[in-house]
Amino acid sequence: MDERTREWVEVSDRRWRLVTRRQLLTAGAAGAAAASLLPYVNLRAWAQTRRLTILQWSHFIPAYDKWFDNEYTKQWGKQHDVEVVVDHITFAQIPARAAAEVAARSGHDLYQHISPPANFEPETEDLTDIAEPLIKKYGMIELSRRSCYNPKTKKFYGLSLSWTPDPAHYRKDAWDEVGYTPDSWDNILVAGRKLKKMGLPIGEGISNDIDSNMGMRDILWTFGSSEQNEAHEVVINNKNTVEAVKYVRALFKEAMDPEVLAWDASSNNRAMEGGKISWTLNAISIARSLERNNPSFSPKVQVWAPPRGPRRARLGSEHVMYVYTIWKFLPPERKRLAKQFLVDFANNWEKAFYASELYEFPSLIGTVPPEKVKQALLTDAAAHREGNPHKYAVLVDAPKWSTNVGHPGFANGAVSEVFDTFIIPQMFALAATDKMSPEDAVKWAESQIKPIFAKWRARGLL
Amino acid sequence: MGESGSAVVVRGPVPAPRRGGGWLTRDRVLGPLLLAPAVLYVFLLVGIPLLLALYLSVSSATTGSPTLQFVGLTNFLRAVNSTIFRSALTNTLIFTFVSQALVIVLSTVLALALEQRFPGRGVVRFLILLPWAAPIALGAIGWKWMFDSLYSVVNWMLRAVHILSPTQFPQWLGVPSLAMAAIIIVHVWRMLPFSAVVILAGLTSIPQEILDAAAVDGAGYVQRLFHVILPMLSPIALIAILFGTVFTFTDMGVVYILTSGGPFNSTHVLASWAFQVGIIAGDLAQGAAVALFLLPVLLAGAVLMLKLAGAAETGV
Amino acid sequence: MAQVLSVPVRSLGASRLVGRILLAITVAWFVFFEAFPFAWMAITAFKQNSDLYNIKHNPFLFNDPPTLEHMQLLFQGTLFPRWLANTGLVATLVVLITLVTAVPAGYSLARLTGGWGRRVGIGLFLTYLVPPSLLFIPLSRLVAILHLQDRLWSLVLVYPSFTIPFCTWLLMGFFKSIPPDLEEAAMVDGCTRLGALRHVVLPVSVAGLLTVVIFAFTLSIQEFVYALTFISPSAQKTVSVGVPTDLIRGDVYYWGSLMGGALVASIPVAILYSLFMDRFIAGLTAGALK
Repeated sequence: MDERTREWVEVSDRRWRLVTRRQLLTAGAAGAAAASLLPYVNLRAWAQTRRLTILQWSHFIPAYDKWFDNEYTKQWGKQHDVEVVVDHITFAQIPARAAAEVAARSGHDLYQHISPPANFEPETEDLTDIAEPLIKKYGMIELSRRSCYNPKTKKFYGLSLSWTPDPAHYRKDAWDEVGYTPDSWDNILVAGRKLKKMGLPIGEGISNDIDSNMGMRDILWTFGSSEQNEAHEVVINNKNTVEAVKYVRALFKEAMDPEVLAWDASSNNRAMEGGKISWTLNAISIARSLERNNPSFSPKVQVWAPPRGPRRARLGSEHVMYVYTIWKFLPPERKRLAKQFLVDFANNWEKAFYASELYEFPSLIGTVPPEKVKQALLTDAAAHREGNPHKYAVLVDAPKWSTNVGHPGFANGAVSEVFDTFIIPQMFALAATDKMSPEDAVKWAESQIKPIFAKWRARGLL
Repeated sequence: MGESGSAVVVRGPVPAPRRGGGWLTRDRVLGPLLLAPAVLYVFLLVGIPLLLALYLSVSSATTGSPTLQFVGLTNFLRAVNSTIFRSALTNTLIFTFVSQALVIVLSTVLALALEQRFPGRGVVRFLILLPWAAPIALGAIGWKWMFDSLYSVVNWMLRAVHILSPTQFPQWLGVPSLAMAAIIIVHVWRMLPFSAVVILAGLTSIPQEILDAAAVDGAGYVQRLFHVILPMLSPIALIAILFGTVFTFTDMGVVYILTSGGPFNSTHVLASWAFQVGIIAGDLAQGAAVALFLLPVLLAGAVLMLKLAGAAETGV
Repeated sequence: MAQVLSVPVRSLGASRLVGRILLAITVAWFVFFEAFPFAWMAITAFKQNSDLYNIKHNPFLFNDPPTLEHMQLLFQGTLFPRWLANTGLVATLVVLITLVTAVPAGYSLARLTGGWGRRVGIGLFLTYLVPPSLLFIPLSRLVAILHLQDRLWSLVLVYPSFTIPFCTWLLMGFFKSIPPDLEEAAMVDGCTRLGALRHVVLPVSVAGLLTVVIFAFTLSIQEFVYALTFISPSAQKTVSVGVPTDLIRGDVYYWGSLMGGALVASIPVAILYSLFMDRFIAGLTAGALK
């Protein structure tokens, strides 16, 4: 076309302009220049569509993130004419970013926590209006309810759609050789002595780390003790705790290697995958990694339930408790949108179950009926490939043998703070390394825990 | 410009600046004016948040409810009564002073060596600068991998040269003493390049005449080193130490990434414990108290060092 | 350049040889200590997982053939190149802001202010005593008010707060060591104070300016607490935040890619620094600061 004729050119979605060639060229040049700066300029202010921002952790299963980010949220966004933006964060940084968003009074519409965010209760929206209908429709397992509901203030400070159980992984070949099953803590100590001599010690962390927090609590509970009771009073200092501490001391000295004091969340994974330990508690990330990276070794590692204890039947902590919260300080329109997303996600949560490769279990029972969960577990493709269709069978009853942090009470800010300062693993470690006697270690833990509970009680949240 | 070469500029009587309303007023206005942007920047972005942090430390704020209710010195008292806090305090002092002592000695040696001409000096300089160029978040992860509880290459090498027997596999990050050593090693590793460069700059600014004069007077190398070079280095070395000390004192990156304060909270420093308590566990007020606890002491110490640096400067 | 270790010509060849050997050993040890971790990163980045996670294997040998899969994951599976660009951009802008603020401030403290200037200088320095592990909370609020949350500009705004104090200090020292006569002479010739600064002092202080550049650049790329809390979209992250976020998933560390990322992030910067160091020392050798 020549200089003067004008053409219709589409300049944005469904909007057209009549332009001359010169205008077109200048626009093109300007556009190219602008495009190079585009990533650094915020166009959001000029957009017309509604927006929903979600913060999720970097999922252990990368495929889940791909599904959530690129399929599910995009489809939901299209249906509701909303632009959904999903950001990711490493799990260790979730509290830091949340603290910053609260301080900034601005942040993501939906914030995913991987442990009960009880200490954020004053700043999160009460989700009772969506939680109760969902619970009525689907039912919620108790441990999830206790991780997002505060019985004192009667508030749902978050909503849990899923959680991850914490079964045991063990070397079936080695355990068969010594003639035991890892079904009780007693067995683990007795067999552990033998296994350690074989070069395959037990591998339960006693460190400043999430795995240790879970594992040590399993021992505490099945020995008949806990940090708090149902009335949320501190009851940790009793003879059962001392007995548990003595047990761990024996386990550490006779059946484990000192390296467990240095472990982070990935250490037991690598130890099991590297053939260095014979038993550990962990989510199925170990099994899945082995299936993918080392299929010849994988059949040797089997899954079992957490062990029984002398005073209580088997009890395992949840490994991950996914709780979504919505900040109170967000504009009402965005809060409404976020709630709508949550409800829709809950109703469609079955898709997430499969996308997570069975890593995540439903909190709302009906979203994936137990028969379907069972079927998925028993027809798992990877398990069948190994010729062991019942590999994940023990997870069928996971809700029965799992509980929340804060057992036998609810999760709350005090319990979270105790969790996040690693007081329980430290108590066990002090005694295991003979830095304190078991009785003194327990007294020390009580002296650290009591002020924390007093603080939270004073805030009226306990 | 003035003369080139290594001529020492003789300070004769300084021509008086033009007096009169023009110059003097300009300088008096110009001084603060030039200083203003820097001061303003720091005041707004550090000063005000610092005041807020001070107020947090005497409140009961948490990350989940940042309301500011005055509680006096409760947080500080609680900190003093906490065994972990006390060990964090000691650790901070130990890490800072041991690593800085090592850094200053080693970097002086390194600077002296780097001053020499030898083949491959350019490559050597590049290699030495790598730790300073690496983002600490990534460098520390690298060391974490090197100290790994299972696959530590450090242990492998120690075994290979028979310092360790085949059955020994020290848990660098799992035993308190070794973990502290590991943290100090990483701090030294990271600060060494910077200190060496600063000292190298100091070395190169020592006038050749003074060294030649000392040599002519019969001073051997060692004597020259201790009687001429090191004293002349002291102002700039003091700056390097000062900066290094403050930097290490308030750093939480190495501890946080390498050990997360473990084993069982024994390697926490004040900065990392403040983060753990204040942010991760949510007790913001307590975290603020921990972080600010040493501020009065640091203030006094820093003022002292600065006065020393100033005195050393004018003394040379 | 001052040769502090210059041996008088008359010395025997033997002691010179001993000196050279000592030098070689010293240099070799330092190079090993400082650079070995990077060599290790390089090896890890190209080893297959089955080779890496096997305690029986010699860690320095490629028992299985080397692989590019970790680097592929790093460059194609994450936004690593973008993060590098972000980090570089932020650091460059911060350096500019630092120079523009610290040069006049340093000059002012060196020449134009007396006692109270010294106190201001001390005050500036003392800002380092507050750990950023805490400051980010009130700063988050500021960043949100300015609508800079989740954008690189938040870092460009905040980072100079910790580069300016020390750079001001450094420049103050540099400027003080320049004899005032040069500027006096220029002003007698009719220059203004500012003109003297520009035409006389700055050309002579190239070494100081370069130090400031290197220092501010380093601090900017090292920082991760603010970068983590102010920015969450992946495309806006810096390398210190992006790499751990995408390559540490739950309890699985992608060690190969992590090490590759650490290596690639460090090498260009170190090359830059060593180039600057040559200029830096050459500038001193020209005799400007004697």
